[in-house]
Amino acid sequence: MSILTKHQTLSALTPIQIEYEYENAQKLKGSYSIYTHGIRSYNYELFKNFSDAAISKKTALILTSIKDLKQVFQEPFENKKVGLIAGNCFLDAVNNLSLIGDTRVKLFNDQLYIGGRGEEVPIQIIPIEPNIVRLKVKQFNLQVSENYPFDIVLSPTSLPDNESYRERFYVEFYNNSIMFKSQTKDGLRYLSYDFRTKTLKCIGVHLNATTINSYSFIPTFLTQSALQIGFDPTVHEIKYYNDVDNGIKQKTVELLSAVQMDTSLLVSLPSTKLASSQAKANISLLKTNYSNQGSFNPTI
Amino acid sequence: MDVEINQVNVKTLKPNYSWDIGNPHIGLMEEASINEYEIVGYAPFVHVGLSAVSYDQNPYMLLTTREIDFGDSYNPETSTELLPISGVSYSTHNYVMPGEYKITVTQTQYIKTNNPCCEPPCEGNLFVQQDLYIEKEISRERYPYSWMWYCFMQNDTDPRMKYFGGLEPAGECLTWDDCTFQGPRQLTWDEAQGPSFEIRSKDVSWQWKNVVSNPSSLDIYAQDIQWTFTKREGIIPKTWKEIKTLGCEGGNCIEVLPLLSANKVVTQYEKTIKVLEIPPQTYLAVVNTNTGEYLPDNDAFKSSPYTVRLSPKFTRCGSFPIEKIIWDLGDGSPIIERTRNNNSNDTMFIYNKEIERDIKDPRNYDLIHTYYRNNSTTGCFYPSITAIASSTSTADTAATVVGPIEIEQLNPSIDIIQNELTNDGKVYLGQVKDQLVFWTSK
Repeated sequence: MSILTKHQTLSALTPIQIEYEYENAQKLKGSYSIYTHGIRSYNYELFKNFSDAAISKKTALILTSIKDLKQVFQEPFENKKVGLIAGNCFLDAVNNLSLIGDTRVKLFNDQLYIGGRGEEVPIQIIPIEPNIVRLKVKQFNLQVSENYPFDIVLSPTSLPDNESYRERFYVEFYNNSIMFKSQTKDGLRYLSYDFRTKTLKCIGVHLNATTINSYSFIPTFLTQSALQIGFDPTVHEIKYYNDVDNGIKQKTVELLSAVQMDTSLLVSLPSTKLASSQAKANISLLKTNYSNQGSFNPTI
Repeated sequence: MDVEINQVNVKTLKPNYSWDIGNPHIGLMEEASINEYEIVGYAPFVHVGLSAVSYDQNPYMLLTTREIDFGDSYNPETSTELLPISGVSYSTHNYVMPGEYKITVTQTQYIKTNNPCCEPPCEGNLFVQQDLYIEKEISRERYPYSWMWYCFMQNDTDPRMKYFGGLEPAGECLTWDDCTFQGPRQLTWDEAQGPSFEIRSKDVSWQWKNVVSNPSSLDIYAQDIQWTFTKREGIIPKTWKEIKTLGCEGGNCIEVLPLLSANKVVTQYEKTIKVLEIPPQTYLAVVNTNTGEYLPDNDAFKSSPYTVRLSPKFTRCGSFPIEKIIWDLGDGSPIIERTRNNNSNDTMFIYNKEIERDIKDPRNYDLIHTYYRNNSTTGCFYPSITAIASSTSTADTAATVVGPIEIEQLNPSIDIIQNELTNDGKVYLGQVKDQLVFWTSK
């Protein structure tokens, strides 16, 4: 009986790329590496420090170590704040001696003031590009005057294209403060207010801790200030109420507690698809009535 | 009347100033450069001193005010100054923000008139200069402040509120609510068009004195009236209005304030004050994580994965402090922002103590990053940072090079754990270091 022996170098091995089967948008975190002598591989966080693996005629199974699913996927969720999403909020200027507590942005005689006897109106934040927005109050667009001191005027009509920069604002929102700045003839200027007339103008000036003209506003949102988009791949061990005495919570699914408890994962792939590089992985959580440490978690 | 701006001194920070030197002060300044049209200085501190004087005042002038407006909305507290002066005055202001500014001096003089004339020529009288022309009501925005106070105290039936000749600058009844902020006749301290008279009504003052005193032989009008008597439940209850008229003939306890006319001269300084900004200068250094040196390391061989420490510490402020640094690592990683007040990504940065007096400065934080070379990348990466100044968002960018990075040297061996023959080819299950890997071969 003759035996045919075929020699291959390791560089002839083609690495196989894995995708998660049930959500194409959720990419597995990994990298493509090349080593000397042409050896290549796809390295996934999912398979790092794996416990065991086996491949049979139909299925490849991999038992991973205990994994935090947030580390397994690339950016599983994304926080999109106002500026990326639209919003509606009341604005309050940062209180100081000249405002004496009356800090709300109000509409009076078709002009915006800080405080006074006007109507409290929400500001609509309408994204145009990431973190570039238009601002509206009722049916009026907020527009920056062409010339210094860059007053804010309200107009029911939009500006023509060559002047549209005057109704575009860059927005920064963090630590419950929101700031707007606009491109003017003199450069980017922050939205603030004139402390004498209390009208809005792009004259904000901060010098570190020294505030000359405050350009921070405190928003009170009527809509969500941020949205979390994606999925939250955390694994919790939960406990329900066992309210025998009065039975109130027995009728609900209210949780008594939820503790994040990462587990090992069982990854399965169809062997028949692997060679054609169309392998899609299915990920199962290994979770029973016991914790992943092998016994019931006494803290829950 | 004429107004002259007869001297303007401008001192500025030097063009090589940096916020890192410290808060701007007079010791860091020099004379600004002056040409025919403008005076040029550098933010954030341009100090302007100005003197003005007025000439040929009206001899019947009662009071005069001078408003100096430096035209600076960014630093408004000292941008306008109101002085009750006609002689030489000296005012100062500091410009902080870049821009172009005009200085205006407005001199207003208030002339007493009892017999105004609406159309020239006007006849003079004992109190009014001949040929004094009074502007008609429709062209005047607000009336002198003193009249305002007078009006608050009166009702609209008082005949003394009527003006001669059909002009009625004081013909309306005003209340405090009318004149509050955003009221129908809003009056703010800033908008006051004239001086406030300190004219004491002698009859009223006597009345107050009488009410609070016990009888005294020194008081020629002394009556035995006390506050407790005049209360609602007292023996001779009086209202404020009644007290004012108590004992006054014809109910007149108010001394009539002189009716005023005002004329105004506005003078603008012919040169523009031009304030320029000094931009930041950005620098990005690569630190050898082993030696800690801030020099391009001389390792002949950098292998993938290659970990470096990137530092913005040599970035220099311009006129304004650095508010934000934006990191682009140049390998497709997400853009990272480090701002003064928002640091949700703290775990990615290492404090380098460069600016210990200002711990929030983004230049205090180095970034550690690992670069991987793979088949689709070249051996070099070009990370960059953009430093952005506060208040103006003026930016500067710097880049550096990381690499060339060689492909990783393979450590010991790879292990082939298992293989399976499928219809599409052979599948291998293997291990590289601690990593499970799949391969196929045809």
